[in-house]
Amino acid sequence: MSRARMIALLVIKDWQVYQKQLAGYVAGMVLALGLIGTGKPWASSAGALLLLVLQVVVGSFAIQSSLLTERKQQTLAFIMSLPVSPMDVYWGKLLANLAIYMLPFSLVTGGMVAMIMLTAIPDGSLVWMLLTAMFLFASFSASLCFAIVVESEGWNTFMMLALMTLLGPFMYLVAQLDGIAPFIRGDRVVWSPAALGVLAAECAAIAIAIGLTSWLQKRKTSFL
Amino acid sequence: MSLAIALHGVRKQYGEFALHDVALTLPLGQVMGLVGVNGAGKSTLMRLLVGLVRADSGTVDVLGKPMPDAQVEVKQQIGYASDDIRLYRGQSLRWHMDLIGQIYPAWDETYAQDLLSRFDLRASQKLGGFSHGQRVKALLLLIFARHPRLLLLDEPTTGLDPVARAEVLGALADVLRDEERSVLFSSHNTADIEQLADSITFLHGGRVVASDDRESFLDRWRRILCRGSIDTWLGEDPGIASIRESAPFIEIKTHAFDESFLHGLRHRGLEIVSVEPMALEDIFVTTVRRGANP
Amino acid sequence: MPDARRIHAMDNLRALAMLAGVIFHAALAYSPMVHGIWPVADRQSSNAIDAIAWWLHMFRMPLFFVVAGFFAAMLVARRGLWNMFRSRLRRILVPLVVGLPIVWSSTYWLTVLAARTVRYPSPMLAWIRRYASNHGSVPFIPGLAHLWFLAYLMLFTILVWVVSTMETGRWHARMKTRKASWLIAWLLPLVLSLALGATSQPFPAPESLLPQLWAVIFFGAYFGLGYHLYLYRAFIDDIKTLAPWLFIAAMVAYVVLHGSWSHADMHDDAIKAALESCVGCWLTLCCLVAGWTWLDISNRLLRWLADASYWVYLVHLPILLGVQYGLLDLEWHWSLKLVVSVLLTLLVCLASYSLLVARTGLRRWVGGGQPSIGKQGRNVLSASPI
Repeated sequence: MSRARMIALLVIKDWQVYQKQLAGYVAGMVLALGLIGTGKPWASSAGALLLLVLQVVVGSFAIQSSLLTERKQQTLAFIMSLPVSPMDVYWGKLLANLAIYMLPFSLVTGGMVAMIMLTAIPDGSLVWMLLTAMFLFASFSASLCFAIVVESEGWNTFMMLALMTLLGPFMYLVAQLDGIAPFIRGDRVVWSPAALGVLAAECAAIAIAIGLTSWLQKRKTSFL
Repeated sequence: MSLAIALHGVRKQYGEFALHDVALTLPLGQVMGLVGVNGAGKSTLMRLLVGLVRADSGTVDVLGKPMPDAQVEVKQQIGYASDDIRLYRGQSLRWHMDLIGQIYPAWDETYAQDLLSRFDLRASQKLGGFSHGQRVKALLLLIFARHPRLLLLDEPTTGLDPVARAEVLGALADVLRDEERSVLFSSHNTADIEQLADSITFLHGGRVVASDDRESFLDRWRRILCRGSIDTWLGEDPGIASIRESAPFIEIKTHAFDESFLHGLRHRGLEIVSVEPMALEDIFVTTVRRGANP
Repeated sequence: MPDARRIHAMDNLRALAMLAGVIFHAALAYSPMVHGIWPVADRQSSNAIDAIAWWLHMFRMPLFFVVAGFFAAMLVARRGLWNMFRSRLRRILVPLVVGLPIVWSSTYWLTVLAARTVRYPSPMLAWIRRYASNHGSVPFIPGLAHLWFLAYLMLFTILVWVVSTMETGRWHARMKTRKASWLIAWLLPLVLSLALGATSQPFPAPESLLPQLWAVIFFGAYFGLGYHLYLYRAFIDDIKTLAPWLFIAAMVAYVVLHGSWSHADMHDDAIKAALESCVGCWLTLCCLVAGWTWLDISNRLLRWLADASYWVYLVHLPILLGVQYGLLDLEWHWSLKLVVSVLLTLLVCLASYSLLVARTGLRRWVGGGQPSIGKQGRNVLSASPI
């Protein structure tokens, strides 16, 4: 069996093991989108909030169950006894989690992009929205990598909470930036140098988190 | 002779615990029992062999390939069962069987069905509802039905009730009939090992304290009751593992028994009352005590 | 082991539901009820056509979703959930993603042309013309258009997976009795009226890009009914004796309902929603019984038409709009215009199916047929589109 096929099998395995919970989240997201779709102010804001909460919860759920619980319930030992290398398991975990997160994330972000571009919401807010979405994704990636490297549940919870707490200040500060603030309520999508800088920093954070984790993973001498 | 397992000068430090200069070989087609108390290093040794742990120094070769570097290839041909492997509680045994079947080309569904009825397991049931014994049997089923060339079984019968233990040992005995198959299995239950193993290794405090084939183990060890007085020379004889005085007898345990040994005792003025073979457990305890207080 | 028989009744019902859609959309041009908002509304209108068109509307999409649910269950039974999903991506999501820009651009272009050239514009077209002269261009409002059903089918495909993870087998087993079938027949309208109570009357097409909760529940219930029907075929036999009574009740309810639409003083929306639910649900059940009793037949022509119906429905609206924009200025009687527009549209749709789809690679995406049993195969052409 090729390496790629083995990794794909590990990803599918994770998907099957956690699909009941994922199905719950998907159902929740349909409900949230439906609430937004009613167009009534209270229902729309409840739906939008539900969507954001679900997105954040999906991320921490994926990390919690596929990494921390797997270690605690000792199913990792079972997987490691199969013809896989620790790096295969690592890539399998990384990809499974990214896939589990990306599915709702791309739906929600795509939906937001469509909503901004196609409705009366000022198109200028697109940049700010995308930077916020990328921040969410970057902090998910960081939490994920942290959980792969650090086994302690306490530290992992701390890491996730700390990154979530940063979301509010990030949204506020980015909205104040000179290269972003003037265009938020405008009708044009403007990728100013400042906006591109923030985007580049977010991408770099993701790349560094994954690169560093891969490097540390290669140096491990015990894989349980 | 080709080897299933070959360890040379293996060291591994694990916090307080350490394996010291472990050297061990298992020829292909042989069954080796690994005996040791809890914390002796049996599980660490097994993990080194599966590639779950990298040795600090020394070489670990399994089926002729270096571990853990060749682990993907090697693990295709080994079955590893250990007390700290858990299956997915939320999934059925069938799901696990399908997963294993996809990974191992040698998966034998007919044999798996046979083991299902023999172990009295329901494939559709979720693992969460299994008892400890059923979980062990399920794991062994997943391993046996893919016909591995080398079995590494870490305490496979620990915690099983007598019925489940008999079922597992029965299935294991069937598996062992295949002469191509090599097995290393650890236990602190010496009766299982005495029953199944071709060769036996004692592990204590992270060291191999004895390793030999079963027949010579049992042939070499004797418990000898004598009458007479203990002289200083007795303690210096390298063939004597323990001496105990319980008047009016002296009990001597030896790992170098033969006619000349008895002759030597008589020559020194001891009267031999009886010579008895020793059970593996007794041999093990005596070896460990001797190793601990040389 | 699922049976491999092709179920002609469902093929034919699907084809009829889609044909009813073409007729319904054509009839809207002569419906007084939507005269103010339909861009191809003619100068002439007819109360009779109104009654018939909206009667069709009550059950054509419900029936369609029952058939879709039935075929989804068939796909899952024959090829598994994963392959059902793959098939749906290919046959629903791809046509939606590819079709939507084509529908948008073609209807926009037709409307721009009509706004410029038509002598007797509909109120809506006249408004568009005024808007264009004030703002310099015709407004573009993105929506799912008549392809909304594809988006909802995709959503229900996902929900099939969601429900499948809940291990509902034991619970569902209790629904497989005659008593349960009767309860479904009489009580399903109750559930539906909760959904319809949350939207306008008669229920609109949920064209918004965001899922409409009422439509998810309403059409989802029909989809679920179809899924149930596949797993419990005796459902049809169970309700057979009820069907005449359901039909009479539905017709009575429709007369009351239609009357309430034309009397602006009747404001009790809950009652209207309940009536609407009863009409739709019971007529759908009658269609199923009638279909399984009389339409379980097949020949080459019927099969060809059934296979073509998906394509026909996908492409009919821009063609129909084009034809009806062209008919606006003619002095023909509305009935002649209706017949001509339906026939011309069907002719173009069927010809394009024959030329572009039936014998080309497009068949894999928008052709017809039912899922065959067996392992997934790249060359399996016969997967039901809905």
